[in-house]
Amino acid sequence: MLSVSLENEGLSQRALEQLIDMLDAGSIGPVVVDTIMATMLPQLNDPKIPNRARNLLLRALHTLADEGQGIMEAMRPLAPTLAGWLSDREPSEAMLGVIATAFKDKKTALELREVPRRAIALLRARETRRWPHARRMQLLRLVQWSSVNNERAAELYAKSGVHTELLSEVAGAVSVPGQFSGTLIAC
Amino acid sequence: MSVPGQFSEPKSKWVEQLVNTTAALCSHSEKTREDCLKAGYVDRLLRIFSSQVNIRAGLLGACLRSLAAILMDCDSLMFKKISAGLGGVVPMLNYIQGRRYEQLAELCGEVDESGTVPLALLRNREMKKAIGSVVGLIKVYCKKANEGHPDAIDVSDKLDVAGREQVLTTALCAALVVAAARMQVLTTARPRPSPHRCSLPRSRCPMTTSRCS
Repeated sequence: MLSVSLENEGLSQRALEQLIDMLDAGSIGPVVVDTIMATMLPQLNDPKIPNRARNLLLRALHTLADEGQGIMEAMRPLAPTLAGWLSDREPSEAMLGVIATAFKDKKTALELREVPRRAIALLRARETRRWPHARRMQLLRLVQWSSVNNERAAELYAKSGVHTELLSEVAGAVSVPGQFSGTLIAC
Repeated sequence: MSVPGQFSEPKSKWVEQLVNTTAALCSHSEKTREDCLKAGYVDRLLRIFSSQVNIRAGLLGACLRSLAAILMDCDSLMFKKISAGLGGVVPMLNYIQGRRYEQLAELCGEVDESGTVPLALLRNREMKKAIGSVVGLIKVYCKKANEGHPDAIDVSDKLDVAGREQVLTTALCAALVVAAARMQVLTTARPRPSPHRCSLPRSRCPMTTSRCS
């Protein structure tokens, strides 16, 4: 687990891959989930954690949660912290990714009831339109999973006409072949 | 870099996410769905699908899932439009068995020294999901045909002539091989059985093909 925080030599990536393998390994899966969450939750809930370390842990949590239902369910105690993060002026890609993944769990989705309003505000903000696509994609994932698992959120998005903006983006992407050259290489 | 007829991978991922989000919004609000259909959502999906020389697995899956959801509850005109936009649906079988499968496998890196990896040995999750969405789309036509939908019956008959049962049986057998191998790994930690044989005993395999042991 310590190696998750080490970026050098691809060690963090290898550690993550091993953890994912262990999550799949039948009987020891729950032990792995407990250990991961016991290590990560206190650090993520610590308000003094440096941004870089937090983003690194969040990226790891995002990957692990996408791979296993156990981690996703174990993220429930993190819901208030996640909601708090989205109030940041500029939530990072890692934060948005973890919040989006948290919405895949129905119970967590119901707890994060204030998040959809903030997501709409972010979608409409001028600064958000200048975000790299990888970051904006996490915001769209958040909208996707919150509308799937939270009926109120779906109603809110419908009232706000989020779909109209998305449709025009789809149209734009189809009609402009070269639109992504350059921009996305950086993502 | 995107070129006409082929999205770059990042662009494909971006459009896939746009489609997935729009589909999620449509599936949970009747008003959103109506608004999107009026605004030409289906045209855009069909345009994405038809404009790509080699569509990437994720985007293919997203478009087909979205179209299948629309087909489940749409008027006859829209039904015909989607069916025509998908080339009469019969070419979709190629994504499970045929040239399209090979192209998809190449894009997903599912190629080894002997050629494209067979269905039962696929590891790429996106490709598996894409093939699942093709099967899901065919299922919608079968279901609608069973309900007596005239357009669906027409498509279903053509699928039947094109060997739908054989193609779907192959896919099912592949899925059973994977499931049986996984069960074996989990319960006895033995190595996987040979990929070219169904590992179920002949008497217990619902398919009972020549490949069963």
